[in-house]
Amino acid sequence: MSTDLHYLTIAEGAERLRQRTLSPVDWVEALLTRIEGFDGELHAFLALTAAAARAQAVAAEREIVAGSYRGPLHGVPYALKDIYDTAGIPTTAQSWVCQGRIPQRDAFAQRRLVDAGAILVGKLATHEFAYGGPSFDLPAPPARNPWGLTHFTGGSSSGSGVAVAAGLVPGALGSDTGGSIRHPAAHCGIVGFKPTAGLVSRAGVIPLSYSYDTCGPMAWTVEDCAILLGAIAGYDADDPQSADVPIPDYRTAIGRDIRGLRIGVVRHFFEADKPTDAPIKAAIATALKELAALGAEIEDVTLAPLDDFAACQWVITCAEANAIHDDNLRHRMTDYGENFRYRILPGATLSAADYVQAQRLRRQLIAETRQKMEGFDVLLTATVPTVAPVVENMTLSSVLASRGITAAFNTLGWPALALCCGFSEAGLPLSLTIAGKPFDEATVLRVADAYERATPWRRRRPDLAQAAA
Amino acid sequence: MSNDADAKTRHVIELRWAALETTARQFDQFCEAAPHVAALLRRIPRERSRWDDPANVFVLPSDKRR
Repeated sequence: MSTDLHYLTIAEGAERLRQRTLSPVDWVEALLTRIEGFDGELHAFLALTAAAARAQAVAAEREIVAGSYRGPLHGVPYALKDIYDTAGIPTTAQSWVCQGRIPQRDAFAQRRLVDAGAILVGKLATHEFAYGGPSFDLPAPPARNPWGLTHFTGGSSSGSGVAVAAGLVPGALGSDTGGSIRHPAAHCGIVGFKPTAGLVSRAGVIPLSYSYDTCGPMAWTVEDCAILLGAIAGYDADDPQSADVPIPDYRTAIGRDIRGLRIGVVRHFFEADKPTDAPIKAAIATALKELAALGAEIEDVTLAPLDDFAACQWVITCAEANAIHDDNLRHRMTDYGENFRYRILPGATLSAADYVQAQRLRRQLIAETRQKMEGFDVLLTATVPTVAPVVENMTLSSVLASRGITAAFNTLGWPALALCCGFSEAGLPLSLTIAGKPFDEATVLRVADAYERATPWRRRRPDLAQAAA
Repeated sequence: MSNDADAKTRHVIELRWAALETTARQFDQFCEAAPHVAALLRRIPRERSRWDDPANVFVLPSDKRR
């Protein structure tokens, strides 16, 4: 268990809060101090809600002492990607287009966290409208990777990845349309979980793509993601995609063995379709041995080519994003950052037939993959093809190029979790992905947690002084 | 007219149809991205049975969700 308050996981902190050996006031104060000390360089936060957080911490402490303990998020600090609406608190998608926008209602997921007694510390950096970045022409600078400040954080949930990795908050919410939870989770060395499409309501979350947008948790451990997911999952009539399915207690998947579970390795994704950096391939090979040693049965599986998944995801996302931004693109083009424009403008030329054909391909890919998945409990592949690149060396098109593998699981709509599987020689995090069948988040969490507990990667934290050097 | 000039003319028309006005720099970036987009579109099959539904067909909500 961590002795530093800023490195407490949600599970550790929650247990201490429940036992009343930790005050939420002290926890929140420790994090605010750390944010003040380091966020000047990390740029993870767009806005702090310090006064409200302090008041909520006092209220939470009073409730817990009075015996009204609500559960594992009561008194726990967290932060939100700045596309989640927060009543009375600016929500800007890090865009000039939304400067001064103050929502009147909370997003569904935010309401759930408030109801669970969690304490919002602030709003986190994102690539513009969850689709640009890293950009230097937006209202705030891009977040910086705590494992090396010159390196890319991944995105678009960049602030969420940074804040969790640097110990600024124990957990955060991100959103994922083509990999925007898993990509920063990979580069920042944390756990990011994109659940099944429809499990978590997107109501009150600034949209990018109606077909693919997915809300999900980002945290230091798999167990913490299970806790957060348990709070935000559930049917919501305000999101037409919301699924009316039973929500299990995801924490029951934690601490279990994985003997006899069948893992399908989608090797061609990271060896042939999107050749991946040698350290990532080596780390995955080692991880497969570790999973086999834990009793899992490992076998390769061949899905459709990665480019088919990626093309399907891109056409649909870009067409829908253009519909959403249509009016502003015509009248306020220059208010968007260069990165966002570069990515979205080609979508303006897509035809209606392009969009429908991509939706037809999506159905085909889902059906084919479902058949291939029959013999397996989960799939395993790389999360991203490279370790975090140096931001200065990135071109406008390089973010596009790094996203193919994650996009496959948006096309499918299935749950996919990215977790750390080692470090490069330069000390940058490596990541693998475990994906599961629709609404079988529990098995994904079970396998990821077993791997996490059997390996040493959660004991290593970024050295912020070194990162700045 | 060279192929490059053909492509640029096509892109001017595409943007005009989309009612989008770009600066010279934005237009150049649009042209730079175009080959990537064309490569992605080539991955999308065009010949399909008419019964081959897309993934986003509308479903009326059940009584429970209404």
